[in-house]
Amino acid sequence: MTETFPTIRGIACVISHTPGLLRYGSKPTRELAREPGLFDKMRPHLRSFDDAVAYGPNQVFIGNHGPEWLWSVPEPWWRHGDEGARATGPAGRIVGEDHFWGLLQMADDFGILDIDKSRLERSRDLLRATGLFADAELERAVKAAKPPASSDGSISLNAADGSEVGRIANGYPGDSSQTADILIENLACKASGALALKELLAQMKMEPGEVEYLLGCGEEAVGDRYQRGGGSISKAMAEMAGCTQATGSDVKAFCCAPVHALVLAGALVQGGVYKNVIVVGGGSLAKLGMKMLGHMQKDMPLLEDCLASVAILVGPADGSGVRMRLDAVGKHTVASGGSAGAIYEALVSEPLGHLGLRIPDVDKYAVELHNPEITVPAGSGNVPRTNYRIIAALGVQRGEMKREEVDGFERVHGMPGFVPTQGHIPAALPYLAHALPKLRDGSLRNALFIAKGSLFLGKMTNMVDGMSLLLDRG
Amino acid sequence: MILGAAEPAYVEMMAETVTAGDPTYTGPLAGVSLGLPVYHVTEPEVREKADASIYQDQIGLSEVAMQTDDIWQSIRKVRERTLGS
Repeated sequence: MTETFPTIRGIACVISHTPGLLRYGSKPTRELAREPGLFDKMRPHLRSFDDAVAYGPNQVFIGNHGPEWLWSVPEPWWRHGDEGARATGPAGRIVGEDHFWGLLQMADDFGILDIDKSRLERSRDLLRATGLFADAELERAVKAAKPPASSDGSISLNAADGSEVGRIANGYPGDSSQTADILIENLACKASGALALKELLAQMKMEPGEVEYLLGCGEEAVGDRYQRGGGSISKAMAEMAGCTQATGSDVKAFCCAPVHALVLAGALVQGGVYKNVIVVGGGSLAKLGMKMLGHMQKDMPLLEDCLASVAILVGPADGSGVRMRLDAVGKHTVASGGSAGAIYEALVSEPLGHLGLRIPDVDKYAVELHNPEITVPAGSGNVPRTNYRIIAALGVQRGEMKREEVDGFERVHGMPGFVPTQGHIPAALPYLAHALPKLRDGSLRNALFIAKGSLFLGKMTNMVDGMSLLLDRG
Repeated sequence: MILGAAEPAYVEMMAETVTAGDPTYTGPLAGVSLGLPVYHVTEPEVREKADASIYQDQIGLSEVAMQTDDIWQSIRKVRERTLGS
């Protein structure tokens, strides 16, 4: 067994609050096609930027509070905004729609977008104030790389107040994998992922040229008619963030892609191929407004108005003591089976057993950290709570815990969900923002990061997938 | 109709959906009363009909994790209200 393991040096967690883009989510698009007047009913449910900043789970996401703080916030959380909320935090920041138009423009190398100049100038000024961008980069926010393309098949882009901001065109004529609605998803992923990269570089005080390799773990299939999921949006993000010495590729495994990517990043470092590898996940525009009907029916704000993105830096052991235990990666195999018991044995008890640990020996479990306030009203249940009860039940079944401890397991070894329902982003890793400082100062001994992916959604198999990784102190 | 969800509130909503109709009016069963007999997989009526070893293999762990008393109470309430049984 190797004595030295790679480490996770930092994570940036960024929210782009884009209520105007909510209507281009998959569910809103389908609902608006059925009922064109629906947007007028949606509009009163759209949140202001200040409300999105003050929203407790968003404050936890950017690191201004620990996840456990949410247990002290009265429900519903959206009615009880954090009075001390800030748009920046130790792990990242929240930017608004007015920032995001400029970021989209910066991401567009092909003149796909045609956005109103005054909007872009305002974006440029807001982006300048973040301190993340050089002057030359900021000019890209107002000046198109190419003249706007033909407007055939273009769709209009609107702000939250309904006003038209501009248009987005199709890609290759007649290419069903590059229609305007797909390209806006891809550009939103690229722009939000690149923003997380910028945030991470600033946080780590790292020159962009030091980054050697990126692994994208987002959900968008970037490609053309002959190669729909061609990929490497990670390299496109690297270019936008100025990482001139990097290349990259994408890892696809539905919602557990981030943990797969993290393990691969660790292996690239451990194998001596690269020293600085970044796992990056851009936001999922398709998932905006996914549960909107449930939220409107309950007279709630449309809380799925945020693109969430993360960037995670993996490197060789740096003296921080935080170790990626690559000798005990949990994986759900083809033979594992699809029952809850089979999945959690593969992802929890098997890797822990390999290290001589029992379920109660892990201080914190980071599971699918979907914000329950988004999922419960729409009938999808409290996802992290269900996960914690299953892990606890496994502990009982294995004789490592008492049955009476199942109810309290979430409070001791878990946390409330706090992550926007962006598929891959809630998959455990945002807890790194909270775990890393505690692992460094010794207040946390270890944490297990568990992600699952619904492979069956793609119609190629009935299987699920899953992967887990333990971080501990060396 | 056999449900397997873990949360009492969710079970109640799904049971309502396949009996009286979608109570949230957000899906295709809004206002559609199917009136199906609905049970939870952990209820004795279902469990006793299953092969014990397969049940243990597939459901055993989930059952330990579930608050079965609350789930049974929720689903029985819906059955009594909508199916009169």
